Amino acid sequence: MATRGERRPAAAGALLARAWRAVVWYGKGLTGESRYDAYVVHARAAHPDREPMGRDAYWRDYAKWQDANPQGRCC
Amino acid sequence: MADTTTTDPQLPPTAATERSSKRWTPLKIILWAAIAVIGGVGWTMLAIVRGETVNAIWFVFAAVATYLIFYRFYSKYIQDKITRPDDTRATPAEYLANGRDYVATDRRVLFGHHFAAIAGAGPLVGPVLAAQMGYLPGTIWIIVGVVLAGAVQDYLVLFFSMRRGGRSLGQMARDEFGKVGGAAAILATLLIMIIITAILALVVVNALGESPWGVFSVAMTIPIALFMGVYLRWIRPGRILEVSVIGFILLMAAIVGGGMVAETAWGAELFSLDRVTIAWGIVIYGFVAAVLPVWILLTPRDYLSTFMKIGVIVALAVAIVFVQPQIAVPAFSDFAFGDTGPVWAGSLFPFLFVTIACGALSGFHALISSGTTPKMVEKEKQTRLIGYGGMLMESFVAIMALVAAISIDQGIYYAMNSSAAATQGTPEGAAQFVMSLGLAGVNVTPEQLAQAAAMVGEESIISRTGGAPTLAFGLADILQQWIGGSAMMAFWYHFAIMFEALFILTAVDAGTRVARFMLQDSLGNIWPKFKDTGWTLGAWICTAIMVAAWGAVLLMGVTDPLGGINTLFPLFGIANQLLAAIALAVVMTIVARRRTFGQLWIVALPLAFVTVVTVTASLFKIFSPVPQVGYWANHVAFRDALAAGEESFGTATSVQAMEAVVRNTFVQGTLSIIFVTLALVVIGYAIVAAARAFRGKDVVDHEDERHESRIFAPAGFLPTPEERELEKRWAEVPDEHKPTRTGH
Repeated sequence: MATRGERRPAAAGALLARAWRAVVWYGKGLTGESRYDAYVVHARAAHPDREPMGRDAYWRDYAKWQDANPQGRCC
Repeated sequence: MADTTTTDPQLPPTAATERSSKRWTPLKIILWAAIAVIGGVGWTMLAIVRGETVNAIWFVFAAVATYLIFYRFYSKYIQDKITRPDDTRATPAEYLANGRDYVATDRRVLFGHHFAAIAGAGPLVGPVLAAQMGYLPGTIWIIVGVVLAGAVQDYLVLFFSMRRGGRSLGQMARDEFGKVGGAAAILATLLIMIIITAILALVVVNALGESPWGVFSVAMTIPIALFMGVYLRWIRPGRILEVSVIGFILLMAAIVGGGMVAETAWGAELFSLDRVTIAWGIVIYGFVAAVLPVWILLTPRDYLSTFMKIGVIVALAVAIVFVQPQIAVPAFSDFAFGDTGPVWAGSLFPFLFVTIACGALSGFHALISSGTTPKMVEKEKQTRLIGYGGMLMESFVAIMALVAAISIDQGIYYAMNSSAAATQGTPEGAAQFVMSLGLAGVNVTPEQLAQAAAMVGEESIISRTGGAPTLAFGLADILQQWIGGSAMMAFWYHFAIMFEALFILTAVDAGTRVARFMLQDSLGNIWPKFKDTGWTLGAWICTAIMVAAWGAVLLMGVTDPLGGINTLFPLFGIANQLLAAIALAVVMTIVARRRTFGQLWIVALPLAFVTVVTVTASLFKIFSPVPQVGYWANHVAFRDALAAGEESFGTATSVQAMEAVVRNTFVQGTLSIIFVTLALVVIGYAIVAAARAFRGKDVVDHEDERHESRIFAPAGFLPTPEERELEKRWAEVPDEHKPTRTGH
């Protein structure tokens, strides 16, 4: 997570690392890559009795679901 | 402490009260006064001073200041008076969370996500064509239209759909208007999707015709997407960011490679395709792409397209600020006062307002705002940032496209955008035609046109209608002044073509799929078997019907003796704006039934405007006696000429071409009649419903029941002090008490 706020003098390296993490976090959110992590959190909470799907199985299942639920793109 | 109640005593509040934002500190007053002054200066320079040339930076100032002011004050007013979000109420992403489509998503991420879904080729193409009227009419409509109409529509549809568990526009129409009104809305949506898909495809065909470089690099996106699909399926499942970066690098290689291939004899031979061939290619491709599973082509290309979209838009914004091109286009051109401009025919009112649809007001957005996005919103208050704010971003893209289009030489602009029937498709013919327009300060020679084509690595730039090549030319010209110089011009040109082709192809594929499902759903009412979307034969039949429908319109446009884009583009705009009218009609009904009559004008005003615009435009298209404008006038003129035994008429040079015009104008004229009738039915239902609500007393609301929220997140991009305080308290909640926040 990118958190804002604290502005303590930090080494340029640490700052860069944080910026990099923020970019990656945003990129993963935008492309939907983080959807899987969200799913795991959700599945653990909603169905604690079973193990969440693995990454591979999740994306296959997601693609199948997308096939049946197309979303338009705008002009 | 800013507090509201929460049901769980172990949890901090789920909503912040806005105390600090209400206080007007001197610093804030100075800030907003400064924004107002900057905007005022921008508008003054554009509208009143208008020197010999205008610096492009004023467009940026006028636009951004206006957006900020309306976002801060007008959308806030809408929030206070109409939507009245309640952050203690859970959003569908929370109470319907399923880890698939109902996923609470960080507001900043969702903003980007929503923007990528709404912004496509539309805001880029429309302003380019509208530049025919001079820069001012388009600029005013893009900026004023978005803050009063487009962003209002997007925001309200998003909010109400969110309150309804993410229901689609069609379902909301059925809820509000009953079976017949709902069916009219759904049928209108289906037809509009067909026409929009066809015309977007036409834009791509026009950009790629006789362009071996463009054809090669765009064709390469297919193997690149296939590779990405395989990578995500078997090599490294789910590593989307990584594969997107790889795909982007391959894409750049494809553009560079395209230049090399186009220079070889075999490359030029193999990839120089005429427009009819390319159109057939896209029709076949559209069918195949729409029946294949999404992971093979659609999804990977979508990732590429998102990357390209954000990259190009940021690059263009930075380049405009750096380069600050001087604009020599007049504020109003001669064509602003007539109705027979060479780029598209029709008077300023109403046709400017349908030519620029996306960027100012786009009905298509209502489908996105009632599709994916409402299922991902984390907190109710964020809908203002995402719905209203997201649309402002798209408007800014349209302004930049306008700047790119008007920064190029006027002579080149008209040579690129006049139909081949007028320019004969040759530099000599084009130069002669442009000079014959008699525009002040416009001088162009055949040599200049040939040189411009050589600069962008194309055989010819004459009559490259559709907006995309013009935008690519302008964009390349601006970007090369920033990076690379004229040696890079050809690269940037094809980079821009690629960028537009990518998301148009995605829109074609996705649009065909959505339309197929809508058709299956409708046919299912008669033959229940069609409702089963897993039935392969049914899927193939419905896909084939949809592809045939838009393919027919596409081929009609490609082979149209009158030029294609200039006759079809108004239909695209009208269709899109009629969808906006339908969306606003649904929203107005909901607002009236919630009994917030005092602010009904916020919706009624844009609805009335767009209704007047589209109905007038449709009537012009149906009844205008000017053949360039009226489909039927043209139809009759050509039919009479045929009956009189003539063998050429106007720009049609053979009997065959004349018959094509008769056929095309018949289809276009019929579509105009159907569109306007359906939209009027829906608007009629809305007015009756609103009037009934006014006479009644009860609040009628089809929203989902209330669920208590158990999460907290700030509303705007930057948290307010109260929100920051609350975030800190939520961070301190021990894990075992923390509700699941399935956010990104």
